[in-house]
Amino acid sequence: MKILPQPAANSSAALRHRSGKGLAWTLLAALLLGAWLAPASAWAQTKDDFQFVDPGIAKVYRDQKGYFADDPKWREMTYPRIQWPKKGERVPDFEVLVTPAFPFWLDAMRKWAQDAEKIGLKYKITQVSLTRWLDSVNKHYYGDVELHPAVPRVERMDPSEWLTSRAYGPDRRNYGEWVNLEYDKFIRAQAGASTRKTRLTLVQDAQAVLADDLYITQLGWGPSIVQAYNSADWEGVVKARGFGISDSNMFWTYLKAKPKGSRHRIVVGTRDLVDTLNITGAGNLFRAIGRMIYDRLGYLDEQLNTVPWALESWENVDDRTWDVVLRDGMKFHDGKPVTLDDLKFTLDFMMKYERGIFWTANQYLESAEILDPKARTMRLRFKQPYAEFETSFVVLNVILPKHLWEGRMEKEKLTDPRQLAITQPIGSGPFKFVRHRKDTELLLAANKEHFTAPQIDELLYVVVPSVDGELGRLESREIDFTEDLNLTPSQAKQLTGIKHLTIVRSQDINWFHAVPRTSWLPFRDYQFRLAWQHLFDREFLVKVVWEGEGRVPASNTFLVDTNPWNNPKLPPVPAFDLEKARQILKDAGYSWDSEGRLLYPDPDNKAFIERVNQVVKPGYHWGGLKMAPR
Amino acid sequence: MGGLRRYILRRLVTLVFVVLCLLTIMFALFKLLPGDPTAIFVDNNFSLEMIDRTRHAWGLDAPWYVQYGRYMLNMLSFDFGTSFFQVAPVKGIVAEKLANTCAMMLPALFLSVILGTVIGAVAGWKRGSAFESGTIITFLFLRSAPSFFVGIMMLMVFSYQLHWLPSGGMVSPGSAGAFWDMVLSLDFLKHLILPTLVVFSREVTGPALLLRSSMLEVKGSDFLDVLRAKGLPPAAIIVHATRNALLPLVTYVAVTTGFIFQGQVVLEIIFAWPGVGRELVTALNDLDYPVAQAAFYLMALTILFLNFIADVLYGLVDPRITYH
Repeated sequence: MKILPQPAANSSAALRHRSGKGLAWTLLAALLLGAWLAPASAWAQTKDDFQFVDPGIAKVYRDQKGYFADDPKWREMTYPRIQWPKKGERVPDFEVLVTPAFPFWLDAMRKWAQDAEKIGLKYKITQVSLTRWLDSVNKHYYGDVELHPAVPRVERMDPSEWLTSRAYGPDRRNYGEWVNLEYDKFIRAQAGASTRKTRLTLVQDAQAVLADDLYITQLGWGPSIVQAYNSADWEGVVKARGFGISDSNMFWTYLKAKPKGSRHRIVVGTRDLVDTLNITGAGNLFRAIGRMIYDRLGYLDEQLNTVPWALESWENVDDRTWDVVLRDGMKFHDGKPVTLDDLKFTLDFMMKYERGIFWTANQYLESAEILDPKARTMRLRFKQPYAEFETSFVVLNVILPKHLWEGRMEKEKLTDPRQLAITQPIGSGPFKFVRHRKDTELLLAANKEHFTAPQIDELLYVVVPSVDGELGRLESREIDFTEDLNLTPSQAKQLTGIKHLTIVRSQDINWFHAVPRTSWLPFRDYQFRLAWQHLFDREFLVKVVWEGEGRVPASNTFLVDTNPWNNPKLPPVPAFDLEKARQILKDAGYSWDSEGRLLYPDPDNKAFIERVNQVVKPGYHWGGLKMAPR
Repeated sequence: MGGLRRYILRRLVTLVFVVLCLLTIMFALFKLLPGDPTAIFVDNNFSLEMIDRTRHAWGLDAPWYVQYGRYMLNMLSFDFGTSFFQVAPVKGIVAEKLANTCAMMLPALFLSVILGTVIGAVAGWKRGSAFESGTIITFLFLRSAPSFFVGIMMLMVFSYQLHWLPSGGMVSPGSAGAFWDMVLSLDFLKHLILPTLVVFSREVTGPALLLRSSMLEVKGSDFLDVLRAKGLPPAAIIVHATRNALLPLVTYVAVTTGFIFQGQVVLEIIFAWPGVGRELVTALNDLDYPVAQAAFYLMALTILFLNFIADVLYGLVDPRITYH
């Protein structure tokens, strides 16, 4: 066919052509308008479309600027899922975010998604960067099921860190938006408990509610902590529960290790080093290293019990007041003595600027007053009964040198201490800062005058950005320990037999769990949650993905069996059993369509309506989001 | 020469326009990136007031047009601000990393251009010889081999097995100091050998294969017959031919030099080299906008500038080109 030249502009063909073009433009405009209007209509919900059972919870969910009912995106995601399903409506696909920072999530989730399909459920798994995942989790945009691992840090040793932040009704980090009023009572009570024994009982009671109401599901306990080190050159390594032999959060090895030969410098490989040397704004690693340079008030022993450090002792005066005694004879690295004035300055500074990660430890501090300078005693008063004193406040706070920090904020006209440029941190800790070259290395020297003076002379952190690089350098003896390398069994096997290396296994307190969005359908239905918990082949995660280095969870708790706060009497996790899950769903009124997809129970199924309105297991009381009116 | 001046002026105006567009697109792209840069920057146990204060302190709460205005002014005056994560001036961070990358890439690139030109010229001149076939096969093989594979193999052989060369870093552990102290040490040279070999093994193929093709075109030119008739020795004739074949290489070198400023992320990771590529990847992962924007901006500026230089050099290298 020959293409003829375009006819004259005023010919009928040209007009037709033009009108065709016009039609295309009109259609495009309509499409754009539609696309614009669609989200607009979805976003048209207001705060009033979201009602809550408990007035206190309603305040949290409706008044927080930019969150929950004040966030159009949250409203858009949530609104359709609190509508009553129509007759024959399918249970929607479940959205799950995974991040390459934890590759085992995707490996396990693929298998679990295949299993779920066998009973008519589909997952939509999306891979995002760590930052995007964190952002989605913080804003509650993660979809239906939030996956989360436990990454042990000193900041997370207090049981509240998980119990409160992940499950307490009014907490913004309660990602499943689960509001069990009985659970919340236990959480409030344990936060104000005056003795550890009372607190343990309350913490265990809270765990019992959590497990009984099937809020979270534990997918695996672990992975285990398997590390390698150069045993030809070093002896006396210390295994710390939950952290292993070479984690700067628990630096006992660097204090106790003795050289076997003439080399007195330990070289530690790390994939990442520090972003800033300012401890008030640092990320995890320099907070940990910073607490080796600045003395902390108390420390944790290998079994995670709080032990005295810069504080010689502390005494509970009443449930809001503690008297503490500063250790005698401590000196900063520049030779100046550590005094109560330094401690008072530090605590006042933290209170004034509500600073960084220290916020957790200081948000309840009301005052710090020197009682007797000669006896080195100070009185600390808190705004409310404060059970986290030993496990959080004492362990996290450090002593800053007043003579170097005082007046700097005002002089430099700063409002945020994180903006302080600290190039040469000076503390009183067991290690002195020597030098740092970003993304290359950081050198510390032993403070031989310290009350726990290290046996070594120097500690050098060297950046090795890849796992293969760390393994290679362990093999070639260029590094002695690794900061962040938890070996897989295959990697451990690769290193076994190398004469100068020893493989060490330490007790972990880790877990990997899934949190369903209990505030929306279908997870509002307790029977659905029960069936859903039967869909996870946890042995697959432990035996295949983790290659045996982990445990099938015994119960649904954050505080696993190796955690000192564990409740050993919890019910077991529902076992992997697809047939049982199918039966539970069938009995609860769910059905399947011709394609095998799961359908909601009939809209007039009274038991279903009651379960969805109640959300929590019978016997407990729901305080969270209500369904939309029928 | 007036034509050249007008041409340069025209190109400069275009350059400024492109830079303004580039900055605007960059701003939009970073704004469109999903995720909130404060997600990692603030602890998730912060109160909402603290999060608001943090966003305000970093100017993230201002309307987009105010942020755009500040951004354009700052970028054009090369004030890249402060890194969200490192709480340090971005200029210093990027400059240091760029210097490290240059220290790794420039020697390899220099060697690649010199040796690649010579080998390519000889291969083209000796059309049909065993040398030409050998060169093509070897260089195509090197060009196809992924850098990460070559790098890991070299590390395995020369570092982990033979223990001849260090396995990574710019200097030995414990020796890191000021940039020039490191770069002017023998220790640095030892650390430079493996990355240079890997970069060279790939980069040498570009100029060599390009010049070989270019040489084939020049080889049949009439002016070479004139040179032969004048009785010039073969070596001198090759030099004349090479000079005429060099033209495409000018653009190639300009563009390649520009691209090295992107850094070599994979090599920087394999050889634990603290370069700009790693910095950029980290900044993007962390949503550290100031660092990522500065790095992208500098890379783009370098490529634009070197292309501009290449355009001007064309006329100087080849007198047949005139400007109107």
